[in-house]
Amino acid sequence: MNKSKKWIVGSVAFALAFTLQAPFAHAAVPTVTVVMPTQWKAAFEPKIAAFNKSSSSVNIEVNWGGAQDQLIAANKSPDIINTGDLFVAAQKNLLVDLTPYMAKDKTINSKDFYPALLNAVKFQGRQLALPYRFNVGLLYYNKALFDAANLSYPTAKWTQSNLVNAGQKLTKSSGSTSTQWGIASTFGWWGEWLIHVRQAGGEWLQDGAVALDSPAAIKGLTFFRDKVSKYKMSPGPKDDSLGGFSGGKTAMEYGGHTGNWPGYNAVSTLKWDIQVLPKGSKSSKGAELALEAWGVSAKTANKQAAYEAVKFLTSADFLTTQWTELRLPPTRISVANAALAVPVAKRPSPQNLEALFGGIATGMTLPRTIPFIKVTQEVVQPIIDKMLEGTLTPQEAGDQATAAANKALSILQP
Amino acid sequence: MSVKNRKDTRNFFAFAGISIVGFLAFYIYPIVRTIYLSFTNTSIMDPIHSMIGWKNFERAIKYDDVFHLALKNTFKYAIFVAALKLLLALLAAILLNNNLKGIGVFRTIFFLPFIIPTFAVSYVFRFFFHPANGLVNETLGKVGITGIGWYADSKTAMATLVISSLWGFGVPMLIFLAALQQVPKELYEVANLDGASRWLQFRVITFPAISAVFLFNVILSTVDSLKSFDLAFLMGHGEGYPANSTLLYSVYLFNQAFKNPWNLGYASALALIFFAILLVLTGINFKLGKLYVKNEN
Repeated sequence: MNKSKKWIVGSVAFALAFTLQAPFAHAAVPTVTVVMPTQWKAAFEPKIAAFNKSSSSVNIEVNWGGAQDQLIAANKSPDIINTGDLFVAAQKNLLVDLTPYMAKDKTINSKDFYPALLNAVKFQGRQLALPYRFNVGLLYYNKALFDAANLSYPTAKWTQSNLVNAGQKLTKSSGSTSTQWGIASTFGWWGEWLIHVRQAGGEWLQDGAVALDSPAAIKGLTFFRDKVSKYKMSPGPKDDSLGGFSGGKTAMEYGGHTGNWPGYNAVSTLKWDIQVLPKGSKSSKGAELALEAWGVSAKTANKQAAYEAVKFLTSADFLTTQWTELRLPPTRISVANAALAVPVAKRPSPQNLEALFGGIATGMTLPRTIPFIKVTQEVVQPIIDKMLEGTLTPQEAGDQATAAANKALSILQP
Repeated sequence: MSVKNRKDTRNFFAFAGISIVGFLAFYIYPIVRTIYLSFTNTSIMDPIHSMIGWKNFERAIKYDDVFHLALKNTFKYAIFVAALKLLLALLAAILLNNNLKGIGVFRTIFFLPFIIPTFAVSYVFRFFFHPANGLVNETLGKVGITGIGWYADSKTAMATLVISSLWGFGVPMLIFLAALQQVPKELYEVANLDGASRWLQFRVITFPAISAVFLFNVILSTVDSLKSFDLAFLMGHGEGYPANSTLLYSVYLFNQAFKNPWNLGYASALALIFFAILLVLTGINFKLGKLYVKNEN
């Protein structure tokens, strides 16, 4: 064989060897999949790419804008599942118990998670997910409308009477048409009325049964209705809501949702902030505490790798990006402390982060041992709708909702 | 098997094979799977499930109040929508059957709503019927009439949904129109000579001639309105808002399968119950059709 032939043969052999080993070398790092909304892509993609480059244990592949539920239904579940406190019960067999993985992991620093948030995705003693964002009920207010009315902003010491007083002063109309609302109304879900029920000393579930007919619960429902019909500071179902809080013509929102923050901040003219909820007729407690979390699918081929990915997605480093880029409230104490260390004047809206993170201690999670969403939305909410229409009194609504919900629970959980 | 038969069989599979595979995969398999699922407690989010016999059917028929309400709402909706849609389609078809100038433009206009996406239609109707500042209430206000709550009031939400659903009468209208054009013109000429009124001409000539098509449209409109989903889903925020007043059967069924706790087994049972109801109603329609469908012979 002459020299040039040897070169050709050598080069081909090298190229072949290189090509053949490449897939095997790549396969050594397991890939796990996760579905994320497209609007997170710009913030997260570089961070995840950098992680993939440095990690020798897992490669995270994101399905941007994919439909997680449909994938699960099609038996193509992503390895990492987006779940939440109200979903873990239904997904108890779909999610891997992370407790043993966390127990042998010395770097997870699970004490850095707010305990209330970590517990909320624990089901029957099993840690089914790690929380990454949360929502807590707060009082949202429009600074410009308060300034225009020459009213001082809500404080942490506000009571229900302060709320009513300000709400009525901030409600304006021209003839029979409302041009500004004092407080928004939340229709079609439990987001607001359940807070009023709890702040009046009532509860959705007491001793395993629905208790919306208790005197305290009725008091809470009455206040929810009175905001519209008695104090006339909130829109009813037939009124023009003027675009809600983000429309800029509504001074306050009771409860709200941290998921709406990007929408509020997208309105350049909306100057807003948050405050802890005013004290209700009995208690300050009652704000809903809910969260989203990452869990590992029981169907994943590599549970350890998926756990590593979940660990990364809930790490202080990643949650910092999540907070600074997307304003999704972080679930780790260290990230919250870093956010709180920024001087108030330098914070973008909302500035009162003390109210946000302080709300975790006073917030109340929803019942998760029962099909809460199903029973509330299908059975209870329609009765509350009728109360707001004026067809039912709060007492009638409470009685009917309790009877219907308890019947539904007895069928669903015989 | 003879050579010819072998060749015929080969040709049959060559031409119909793909369709047969498609039919088996996309029709037969889902039906069989639905029947199987209806006897289980399958949830999309739970890989573990078991056979539970007739419990899903029992739960729906005996205990589920929301199921009964959804069924009642659906019947109410279907009766009004099917009847009004047929009436509108027939009237429009009779009008369009005349040799008017520019009739093609009118035909296109009447058919146009059918090709507009439902989500766009729902937004338009929400704008029309907004209780506070909608076009309808504002117009009523200008003539001194106080508007109603429309879709925001549980007492009027179903009526609003029915009115909003009537835009899609283009298909039955086209079918009626095609049938009307087959009616011999001479019959009308003779009737005119005899001095028959328009109503008498419709009763004695037009309707008997199109009665078979009428039955076809009755069945089509009934089934179509019974399984309505998209507009009710969009206008009722996916949950029959307000107060379950617009909760149709298909929306309820969808919610059982694809919302927490994703109960696919129960939803499958609901689908089969609905299938049985549709079957019975179609049978009744056929029986009733015998009373008015004229045999060509």
